[in-house]
Amino acid sequence: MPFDGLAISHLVRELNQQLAGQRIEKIYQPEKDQLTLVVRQKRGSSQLVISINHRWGRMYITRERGANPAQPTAFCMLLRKHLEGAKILEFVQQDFDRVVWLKVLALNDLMEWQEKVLVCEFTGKNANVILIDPHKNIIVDGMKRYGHELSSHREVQPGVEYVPPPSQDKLNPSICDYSMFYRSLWSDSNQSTTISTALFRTLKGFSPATCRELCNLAGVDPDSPVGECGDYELSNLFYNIIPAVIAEANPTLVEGANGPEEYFSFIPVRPENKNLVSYDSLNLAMDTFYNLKLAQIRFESLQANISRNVKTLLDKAYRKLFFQEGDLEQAKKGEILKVYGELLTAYGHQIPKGQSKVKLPNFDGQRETEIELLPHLTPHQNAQRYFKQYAKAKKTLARLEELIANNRQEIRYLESILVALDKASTVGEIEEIIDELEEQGFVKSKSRSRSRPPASSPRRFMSTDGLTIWVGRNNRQNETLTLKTSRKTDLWLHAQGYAGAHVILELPPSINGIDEVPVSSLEEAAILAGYFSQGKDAEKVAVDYTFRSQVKKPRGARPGMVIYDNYWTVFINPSDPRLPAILQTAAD
Amino acid sequence: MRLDKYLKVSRLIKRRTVAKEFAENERITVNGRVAKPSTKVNVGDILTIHMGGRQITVEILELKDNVKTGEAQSLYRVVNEEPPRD
Repeated sequence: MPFDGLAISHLVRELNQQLAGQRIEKIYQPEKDQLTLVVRQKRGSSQLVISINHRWGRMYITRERGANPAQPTAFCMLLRKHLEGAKILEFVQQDFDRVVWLKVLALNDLMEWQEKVLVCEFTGKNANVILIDPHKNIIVDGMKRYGHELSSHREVQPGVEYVPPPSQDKLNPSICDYSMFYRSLWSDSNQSTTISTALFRTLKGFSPATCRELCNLAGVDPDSPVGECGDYELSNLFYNIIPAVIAEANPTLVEGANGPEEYFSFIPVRPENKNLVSYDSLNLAMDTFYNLKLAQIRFESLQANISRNVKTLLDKAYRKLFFQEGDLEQAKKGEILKVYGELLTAYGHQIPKGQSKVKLPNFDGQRETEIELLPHLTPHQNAQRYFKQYAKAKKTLARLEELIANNRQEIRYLESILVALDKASTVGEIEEIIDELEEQGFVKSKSRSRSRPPASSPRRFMSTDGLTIWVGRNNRQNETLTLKTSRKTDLWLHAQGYAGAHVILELPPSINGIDEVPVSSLEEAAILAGYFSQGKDAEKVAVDYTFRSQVKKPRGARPGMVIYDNYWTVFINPSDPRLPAILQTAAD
Repeated sequence: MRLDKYLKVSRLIKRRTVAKEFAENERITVNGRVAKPSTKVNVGDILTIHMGGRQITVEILELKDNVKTGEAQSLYRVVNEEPPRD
């Protein structure tokens, strides 16, 4: 059941019972389209949620405490100024429509009590919350402001006169009589309109979904045309069903296998395979229903947002690939330029200067090739020009291929992200994907206060000579280990030609030259350098070693990139029989 | 000193704009006469402020441009307060 006039009429009754005469203590705006009013009561406090979400507009007392953003919005601050400490007078539904006036008595600057009205309009996508001064009928401010460029009906701007949303020219079911109902039901709908649609068009405050349920209750097929409905069905609907649902609230949740699926303010006809659960209050039923629904809504909007971002990135990458491939085709044509240059070099002495075109026999002697020349250059200079162009095309080719490969990788990565997003089923899963995207630099990382796991420290081992060996765990750590933590006199090792960990062998100050380094310790450190590298499965790995003072980081290089000179090399087997014993000495 | 300024520095009213509003709405009398925000006040003047249901009458003891937290109270003497603060 959408939040329609019928639901609102019952809800307003409950809210008046529970909240009238109480004070508004705090006001939050946890989301752009949602307000939470904390109302103090004799025992504790209760939170009134007002949301103007275009699909899930709602207002009810919730048990869950919502989040409070650190930085309140301007509208929230305005409401705090005007409504904090205000006494709730009453909730008034406007003419059975989806508009609720929350009337309060608030202290103004002159310390006098003044009536103010928070108008909550739950009118679908034009829903709004507007604070007005009822005596002057002036808008103080609205949650959504707009001018006449958006709506010809009214403006919502501070200081402008308040105009209620356009009326729909429907009958108010609680005061109209049968003849009006009957006439209007028949007049403005042609005979083939279904009965539920006709009801919806005739009566105020009933959503299409509610109308269908009412037809079901009356034993009329909601999809049957109006023309086929007799007087008996219509009078039953009008005299029994409609007054009953208006008069008395029977809050009910329709529960499927996965929890509540829909709420109603009356007892609907039980759908197959579903249960009906009765509640004492509509607030409670709505709270139960929306708590589940909202998690789903949040998940869906998060998923849609990230997918959209990834798709934009992907589109960009596709477009880039398209252009790169075009450029590649162009560059591949450069091969012919080399032939031109060679022909011109071979036959150049036969060609007089000043021609703009020349035909030369191919090297295979079969065909002739026509070559364009710049007349102000000699044939040899022309040949040089072609060679130069050829060299440029060749360079482009090499560079482009690299770029295209990168781009392809990016595309593959993003496509896999899209699939993962599509398959994700919880908010947590999506957040992990966001984290990953942030790490890869595809998404700007938000300044979310995330509890980062404490930074790990490098692996630490002990050589048989009692010297400490450090092994970095990742690029960033390698860098700190080599360039910051170690001493200049320590020995630095790294597997040659492989990506791998930096290894530091701590040397006591008594050792002054490379010859004095204990061989067993050196070999053990080298084995570790081989083991913690890409080449760990190779038979033989060359490990370079040098004093730490010889290792430098080029300016602007990526983390973990270093250069070194004056080094020696030792060959080791990464799966040396000594390895397990060294790994045993690991200490945290 | 201007009336609105005095009300603000003496912290009888929190903000000067609000003090101005009070005066403009004829909520304040100086020596029994309705005052404007710009009315000059002097030591010894009697101010009456209508704040909603309350009415406070004070005598000005001192004029000061800058007032520290604790001093504000010493700028005036409450003559009468209705209804009395409990």
